Amino acid sequence: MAGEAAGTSIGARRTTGRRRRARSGAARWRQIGFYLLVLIALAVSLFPFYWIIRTSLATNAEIAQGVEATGLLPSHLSFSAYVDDFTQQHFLTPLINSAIVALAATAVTIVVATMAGYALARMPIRGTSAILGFILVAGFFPVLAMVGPLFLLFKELNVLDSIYPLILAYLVYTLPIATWLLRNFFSQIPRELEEAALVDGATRIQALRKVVVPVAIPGVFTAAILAFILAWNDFAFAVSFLETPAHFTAPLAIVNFGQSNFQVFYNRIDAAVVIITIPIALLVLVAQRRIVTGLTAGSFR
Amino acid sequence: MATIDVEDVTKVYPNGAEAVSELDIHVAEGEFLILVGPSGCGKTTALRMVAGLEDITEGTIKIGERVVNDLTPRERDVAMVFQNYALYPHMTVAQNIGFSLSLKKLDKREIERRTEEAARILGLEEHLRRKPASARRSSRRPESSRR
Repeated sequence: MAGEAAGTSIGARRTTGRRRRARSGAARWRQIGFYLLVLIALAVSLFPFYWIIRTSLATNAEIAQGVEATGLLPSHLSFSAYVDDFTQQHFLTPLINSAIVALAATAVTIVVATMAGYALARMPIRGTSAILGFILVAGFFPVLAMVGPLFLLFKELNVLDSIYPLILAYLVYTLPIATWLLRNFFSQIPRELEEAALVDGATRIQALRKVVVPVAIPGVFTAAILAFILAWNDFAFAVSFLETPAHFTAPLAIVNFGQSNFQVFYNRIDAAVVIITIPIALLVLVAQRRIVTGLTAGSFR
Repeated sequence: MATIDVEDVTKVYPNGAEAVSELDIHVAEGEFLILVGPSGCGKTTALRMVAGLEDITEGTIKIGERVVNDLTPRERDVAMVFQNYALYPHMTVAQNIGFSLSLKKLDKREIERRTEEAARILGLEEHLRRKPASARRSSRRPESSRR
């Protein structure tokens, strides 16, 4: 079969080669146009990031002068905004708050979504497709519509202005998408792999923990990263439930930077934006190696 | 080793298909039994019912003198080679062979000893530390059968 495939691809290449020669001028222009479009798209999407970093490295005086005076490229770099974030704005507390909430929400999400996803993938549950449809709908449900009911709930429970109820609230974002994702990963794993574990003397839970989850680890990592990013980036819930600055999460704290002053510290805001982007960037880079599919290679003929 | 008694066993799948109909087999202790038949005649289903991977619609299955109808595969204490090998891709060859022993919470040294003995019999010693994907293709079946 491999020989056949190679044969056709060589044949195909030969015909396209002939065609390319026939109208090489038009094809070349089309190619140049394509790369030009890619370049424009790239510039448009990357420029805001560049501008955030550039602003974070400027002093407030420079920013006050305006772009006309400073130009697109920085004349010199100043890290004072980063220092001010921690010394003047006390940005460490909201960072820690965010980390606690996002990590806890991710942990709960993975445990619950793994079990729910596995059950939906494997167990003969009546109405599986209805449940899956409901989960999908819940995943696309507008988050702001959840703020009201959750606010009343937390108010009744007397837990407003605390970061811990946020963990529960973030499950609204994370659970549907993680459950859906993991369910799809689990249903792709060959049934025989778990059956082999069962015959080897594993209980259902052991089979899940020692065979299914390790084999589905790219999916578990993907779900964990998604959950972490969703919780880490949240603004709607944090702004609705938190009141005391010491309880703020990072995105909420950034919005309030410089509000009590007579000027807005754009450099501090952008430095904080860079800071909260770093964990996400690191997470994705580290996890990328883990999200290599084809882990099941070798298990089957 | 033990005897296996399959008595009047019928399997009807939820979709109504009858895979096995009133099967009667007695396997004596140490007996080597081969089931032959066209594909789809129920050989695999029969084997899976004995292993406990498939529910029985009617009849009785005994291993030794024990009725195992409602026991999980774990409680039946059986072994089975899967048609597609079903090796655990995330474990080394040694871990694959020793998985059932580690589930029984055997002593680490005992697991190692028995794994190495099994590997020696099958000529797999050089592959023990590797994962199934990198072990030689031809050596996969013995490894899977050892489990």
